[in-house]
Amino acid sequence: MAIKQRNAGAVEGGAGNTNVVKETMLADVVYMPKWDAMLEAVIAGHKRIDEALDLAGEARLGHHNIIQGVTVQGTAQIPTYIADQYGEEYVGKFWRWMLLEPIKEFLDKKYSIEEMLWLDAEDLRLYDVSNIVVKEETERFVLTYDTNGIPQRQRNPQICGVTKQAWPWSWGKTGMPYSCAELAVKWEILPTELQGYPIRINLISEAPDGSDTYLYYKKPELIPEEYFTRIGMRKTIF
Amino acid sequence: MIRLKESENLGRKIRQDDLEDLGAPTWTLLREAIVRQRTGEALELMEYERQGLKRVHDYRAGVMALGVTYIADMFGEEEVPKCWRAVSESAMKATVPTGLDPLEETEACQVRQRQHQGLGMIIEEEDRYVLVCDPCGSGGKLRREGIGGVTKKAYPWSWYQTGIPYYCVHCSVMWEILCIEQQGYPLRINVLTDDINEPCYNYFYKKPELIPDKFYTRLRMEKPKE
Repeated sequence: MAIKQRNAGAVEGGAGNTNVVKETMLADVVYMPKWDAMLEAVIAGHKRIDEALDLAGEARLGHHNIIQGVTVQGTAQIPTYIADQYGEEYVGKFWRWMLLEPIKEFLDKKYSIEEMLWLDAEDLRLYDVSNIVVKEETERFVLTYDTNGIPQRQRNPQICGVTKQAWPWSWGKTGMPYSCAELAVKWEILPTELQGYPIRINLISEAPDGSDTYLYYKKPELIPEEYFTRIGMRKTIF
Repeated sequence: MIRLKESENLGRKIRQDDLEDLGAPTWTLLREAIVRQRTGEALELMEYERQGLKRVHDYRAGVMALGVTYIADMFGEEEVPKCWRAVSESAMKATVPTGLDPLEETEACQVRQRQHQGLGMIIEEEDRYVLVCDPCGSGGKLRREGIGGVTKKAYPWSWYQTGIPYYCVHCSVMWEILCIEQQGYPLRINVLTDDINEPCYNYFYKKPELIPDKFYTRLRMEKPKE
């Protein structure tokens, strides 16, 4: 462990400005993930393959823990708190308030369906979602995945509440996790308001241990009417 | 076929694989590249994954920051600490006291910083360990990027400071207020200066009795009598 002497008194509020004993750089102590150590092991090649693999495993676990255990949980708990304290109608309002400007910017980019598939598959991989399968059908692309990773955490009733009433942002269903409403608002409701049709259709499993499906229609006019009516809107492109 | 390539429209590299390969975890590809000693490919995949994880993390942290900002804007900023208490109280009750000594506690916090992809260092002083987060990988970074609202008034839960991000209020509630309620002293003390480009400081005192009174009174709480 590298120890360096440090200029005393640089930290606000110290007990005594002459009492700094040692400084330990972040990279020198126990932590995970160790990206910098992994970098060195990978560069070292055959001599340190096992070490590089161990470090890759640690990094994956470390990031999984913080993303699933903290940030995903937090983003499920806060809408749940909003629903419990102020009424679940505010969940839809919150997602709209938060997502309107970002989705306008997103639409300005005019991503192709291929780019959407790359982005969504990437996102799901980063959340450690398993069994991601993408298939092309005549009218659409279909992406499915198992509801582990982020969905599993958000389907835990101890963490994330579910709709008591049917709302457009819950696809007209009760029992939908408040966190999943983000998908309805972000990819369906706001894009339909702004450009006349959803970016993608989200078929969220009603069973916590099922599979979720995203649909990407090749042309807006191919999107069935039911995917507009379930979010309280009408199809206008034929 | 796996294709990690630059996308002009996205302005960055992204896997542009054949459909049947899009679901393959990048971690799996990275392990294969390491085993086969394809160093350049392994390094490229590492950086791709690291940047992706940071993007996901930062997005999620932003959702939390905006969630409490929405609560403050709609229902009053006094509601912010209530939200953080509600979402963290059961976890803190389950884990505090942690059983770690102060150095282990500091290192555990540093692990979390590393997972947040924050930068920092540990300094040992006579009476305490100091984790200097420059920036903290969650709140400090959001603060520097101007994501989320900040306190308009000074409250005990904002350490009697204005301009404290509503997101960072969770540090006051979780690591100080709830810990004092549960074990009589804060697990760590958080110091944010008014300058957003300054680091955040986390203090871990070597003994609870060494914690100065001011870190209780700024929360409108009292240090237990020895």
